[in-house]
Amino acid sequence: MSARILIVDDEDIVVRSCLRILAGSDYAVDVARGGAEALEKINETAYDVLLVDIMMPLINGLEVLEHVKQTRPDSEVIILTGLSQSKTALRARELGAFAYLPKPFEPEEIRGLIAQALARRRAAGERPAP
Amino acid sequence: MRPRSLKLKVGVYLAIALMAAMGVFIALVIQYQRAQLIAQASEHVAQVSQVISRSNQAGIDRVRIFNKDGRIIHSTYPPEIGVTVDRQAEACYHCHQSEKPLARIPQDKRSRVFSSTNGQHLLANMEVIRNEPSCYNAACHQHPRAQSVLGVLDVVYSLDNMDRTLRTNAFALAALALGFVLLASLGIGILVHRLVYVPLRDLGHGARRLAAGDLDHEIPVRSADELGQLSTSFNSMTAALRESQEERNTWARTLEQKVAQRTKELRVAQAEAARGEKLASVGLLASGIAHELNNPLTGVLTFSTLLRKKMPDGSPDAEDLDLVIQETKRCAAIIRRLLDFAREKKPEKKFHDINEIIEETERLIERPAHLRDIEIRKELDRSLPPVWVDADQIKQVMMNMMVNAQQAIDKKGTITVRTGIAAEPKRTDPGAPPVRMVEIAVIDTGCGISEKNLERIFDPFFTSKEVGKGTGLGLSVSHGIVRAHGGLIEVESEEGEGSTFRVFLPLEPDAETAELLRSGNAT
Repeated sequence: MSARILIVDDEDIVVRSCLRILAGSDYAVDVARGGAEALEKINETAYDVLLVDIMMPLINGLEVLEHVKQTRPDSEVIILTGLSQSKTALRARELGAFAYLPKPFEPEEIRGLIAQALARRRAAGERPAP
Repeated sequence: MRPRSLKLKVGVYLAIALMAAMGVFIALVIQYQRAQLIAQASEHVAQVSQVISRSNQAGIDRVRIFNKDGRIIHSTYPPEIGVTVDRQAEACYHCHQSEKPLARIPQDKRSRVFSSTNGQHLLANMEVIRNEPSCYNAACHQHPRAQSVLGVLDVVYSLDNMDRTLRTNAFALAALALGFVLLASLGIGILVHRLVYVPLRDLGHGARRLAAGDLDHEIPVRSADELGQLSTSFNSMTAALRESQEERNTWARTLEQKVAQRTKELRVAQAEAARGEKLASVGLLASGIAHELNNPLTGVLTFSTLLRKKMPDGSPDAEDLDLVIQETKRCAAIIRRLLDFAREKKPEKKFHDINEIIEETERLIERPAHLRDIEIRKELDRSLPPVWVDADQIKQVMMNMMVNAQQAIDKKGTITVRTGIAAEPKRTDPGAPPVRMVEIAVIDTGCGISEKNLERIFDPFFTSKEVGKGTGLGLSVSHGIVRAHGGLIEVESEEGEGSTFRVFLPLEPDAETAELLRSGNAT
């Protein structure tokens, strides 16, 4: 079964970029265009990796991250941000984000990070469940 | 020793002058009178001789002899012989008032001064002729022995000569007295002129010049007396006035300088405040722009990168896309710097060797500088104590300064980096107390900065570099960092000659930090 990826961003161009980068891979890619939609989808589906933008209206990326870590602690979250700040980077790390990637990023960076996240997830899955 | 007091001086000189004049006067009078008396005595002797020889001579008016009954029995004036005088007349009264002649008459009663009917001034002297043995024993037996008084010898002198002499004397004395008074007056006049008038005239002249504002005029001091002391005091007063006026002028000048200095400081402070506001709004703007721009840039970078992958290397399309990718990354870099700038990063200070920070920075630009034929000279004061700074931030400042210096040099040139302790304490704000500072000077021989641009070089986004060569944030960021360290940046520049940037950092940590360091709570 192919890995399930969720892209969470209110910016269409970022979503389209990510889709384009991941096109051709064998990932099952889903999209949420805001925090609220993301929470719904997370409740429905167990994604392997989530690409989450921080600055979104109403429910921001850090809240989505928090929710993911509470409901699906196995899912890996890569935080994307247009406003790179050490304070938010630190907060994201504390909340359990896998990586913190400032925009604009290069296609290889996204691909590489997703591959790393999946690898870690597999490693965790192979360990005996607690 | 000359007399010092005016009183004494006038007294002494006047006494000397008067004594001299009196001496001369008395000498003259004595000499004159002696001559007169000698003349009179000789005349007197001559007259006495003449009475005996000739009874009717000059000076003697008459010589008469009375008998005891008052009859003139002999006279040099023959017509009166035989005449009996009235015993009640004034001349006879003293003796005959008691109807009986006195045996003895005092001398002062015997002579008399009177005027004759023709106006002659006369002196008469009566001499009683007493009966003596030679008379009553004489053979003639004219006078009986019992008779005591035989008669009277009356000699009448003319006083005309004496009167003439007295008149002459009076005139001579008057002339002498006049001469004396004139001489004394002249002497006193000269003395008063020299001792009083001349110094007073000098004083008056000096006072008028002083009143007219001439503080350089000095009154000549001619003596050590009271007037001399007054002149000296006057000169001292003038000098004191001059001094106080100079002091006032100096004070006025320094006041002007102080006002100018304060005005300058105030202008700098206002510029600082304006810059601060600008920085704050730039910070907000930068955050917004960064967020808004990074999303579209993500798209551009993604699609151009993906497209480029499809192109064969070396094709014109591939080259075009490489350019798009490169420029997109540059945009991202600009935004990142903007964010760095907007971010108010608090310095994390520790004690660092400033020289070491400079050498580390210098190593980074040494190679590109060398390639461009730029010599970097280091004149570092090795005795500098460690300074309480954020090494990364100061490195950023030094990097910015040195890169700017390099860019200012067109072809060949020198960059001198000098460290040391600032010659004098500096104040960072107009009201703040001066603080001892470490000075880092970066001196280049580049193109310099125009006066117009000098005022704006620390403003955010101000750049004189070509488009794409600078964001106009470097100096602004450096300025912010240095201010956050409690220091300041100064710049001086001569167009075509080069620029000097001076970074001043406090030599010692601020009081609060120093206290923490002492109690051992800070690292």
